[in-house]
Amino acid sequence: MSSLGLSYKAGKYENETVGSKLSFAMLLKKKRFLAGFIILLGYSIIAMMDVAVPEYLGAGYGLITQLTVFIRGTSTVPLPPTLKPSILYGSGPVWWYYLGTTYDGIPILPAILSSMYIDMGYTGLVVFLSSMTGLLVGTLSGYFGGIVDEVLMRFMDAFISLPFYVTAIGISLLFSISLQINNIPFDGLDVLSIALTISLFPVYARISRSATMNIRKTRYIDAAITGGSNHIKNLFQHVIPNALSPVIIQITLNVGSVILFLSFIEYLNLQNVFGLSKFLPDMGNLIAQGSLMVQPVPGGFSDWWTTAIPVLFLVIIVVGVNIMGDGLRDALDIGRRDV
Amino acid sequence: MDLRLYIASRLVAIIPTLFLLSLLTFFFSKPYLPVYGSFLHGYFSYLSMIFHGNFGIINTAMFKGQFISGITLYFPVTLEIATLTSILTLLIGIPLGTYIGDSNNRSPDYLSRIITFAFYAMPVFWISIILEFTFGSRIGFFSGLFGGSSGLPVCGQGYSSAPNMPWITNDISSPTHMLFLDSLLHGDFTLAYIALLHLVIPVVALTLSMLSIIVRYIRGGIMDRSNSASTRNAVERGLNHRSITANYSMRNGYFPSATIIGLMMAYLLSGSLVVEYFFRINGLGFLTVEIISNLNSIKTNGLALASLVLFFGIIFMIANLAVDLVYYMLNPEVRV
Repeated sequence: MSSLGLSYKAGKYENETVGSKLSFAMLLKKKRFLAGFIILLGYSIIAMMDVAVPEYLGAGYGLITQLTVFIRGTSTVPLPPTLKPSILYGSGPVWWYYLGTTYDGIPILPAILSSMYIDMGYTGLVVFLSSMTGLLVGTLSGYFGGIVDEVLMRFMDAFISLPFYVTAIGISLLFSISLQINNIPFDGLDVLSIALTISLFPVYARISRSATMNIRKTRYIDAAITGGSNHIKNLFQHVIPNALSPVIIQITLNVGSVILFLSFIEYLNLQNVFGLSKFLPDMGNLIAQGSLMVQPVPGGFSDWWTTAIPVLFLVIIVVGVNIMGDGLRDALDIGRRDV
Repeated sequence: MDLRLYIASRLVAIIPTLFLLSLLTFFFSKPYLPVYGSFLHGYFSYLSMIFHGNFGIINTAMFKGQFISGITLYFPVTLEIATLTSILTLLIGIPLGTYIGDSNNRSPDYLSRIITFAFYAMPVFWISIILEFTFGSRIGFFSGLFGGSSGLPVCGQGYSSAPNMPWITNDISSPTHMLFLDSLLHGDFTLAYIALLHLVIPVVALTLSMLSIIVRYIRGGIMDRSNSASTRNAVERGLNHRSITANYSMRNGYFPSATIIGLMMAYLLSGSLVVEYFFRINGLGFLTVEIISNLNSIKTNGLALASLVLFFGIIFMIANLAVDLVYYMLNPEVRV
């Protein structure tokens, strides 16, 4: 059978180990999960360093909120990564210029490193809020069924029908306007992440609802009820832990969405509406601004590094997390646990 | 359940969803709507506007006029792109997903998944830039492609190539507003070729960014089937690998993907915003960007934006309904 290059495992029928615990150490032994986990950990460490020891970037103390702190000298021409740093670049550590400079003479390497804080932070925030809200709504709806389910799911249908980008932009416009009217100072990024959360959570609700409905049908819920367990205990002890795996897989799919959304905002020239600066330390912003500089020249692209390097960093994290999610899914899928 | 009864019950279920959708739309766009007073009062005046057929006026540089005429003008263009993208995505995605699912956890599996994930991670405007500069009509690597010194066209839909057609007066005026279809129906194959060439790069850019989703679903379906009891039974009966894949895995493994295809189409109909903006294609996405960037405090375009969101919502609901119907007809398990 190995000559087919495919092993048909007995799977589901051989090791009926529903509910057996999956340890983190076991997951780390899976190559795919490990690779993705290392990438995610690396990005998160850099993001945390932006808060803990921000002076490592060589631009003074305090969190970087504007890329202008990296501008040295007056050269606004993007300089390629292949050039040796010279007096033209102005002062600043030499390592800043290893990946070249981008618009207004901003060195790319420290710009990307400082963007990890916003990108990883807001991605984490959006994904956490939307998955938790969705999980709560979905499990309640799937567990209790009946009228609760009908009402909640009609609401989710309405939310899901709203187109993703238009909704997110529309909701954030609403928030910005009402905050401006009430003279409350606001951060455009907070508004955007609330809007993204609202437009993402129905998907999580749908997913956890269908998982819950499958769990609800199993014998062990009946057994728990017979054993005197109440609904709250059932939900937290049996339903949510088992509904978590499809939710985690969906999380890995959504990791790039915050950065992509920010890049679309910047690219469609809507950043002024949300009070976002051209110098926001964010990968999406770097991609959008840099992409305006790229031009075709005979035999290649001019200034390609201004946008291709941030895209590379984005691709690495998204591919890494997706591979991690795949590894996780294979591990959580009982039928294929030891394939 | 009878099919007609099923359709009727689904249609009835749409009505409360539509009302909730209008409530949400109103809630999110209230500051831009020409309504005054309390929330409830405002909502009812918004509803009365909709029921009276007043969907607002679009006032942008691109289009000025009633919302309905704007939609009839720009939606077909988006429909054409969405249809072609769906076809291309399925043509590439189904064989690729089957192949990947079949070569479970070997190097072609890893490689193709990493590549499709990478395209999924790239912003679609970035893919467009690369495609434009590589195959586009300016100086690129393949500038000699498709006739003469210029490469593939990268701007508009090709209306400027048809100045002598009596049925074309401006940039969006062919009968169905789908230039490719119209010129085919008109028997003008030169213009059809030109119109198709204009669609190649936008469609390929959208396809590349959508591919990962469909490949993931097809792969999952195939892999689930190859772990199933029926497949195992076939292996034990001594059938060869190819016939197992063709007869057992493929047919059953494609079921779950039916859901995602409908949603993908709905997403494309509302979500080709960036691509249309990038290639200056006069579609609904470009119109949406124009409407959003022309919103202001005197409530221009506000009602039109709300109607647009409602329109997108209805498209999603129709797509969902179509998906459920197809699923219902394909899968006997749902029918009980």
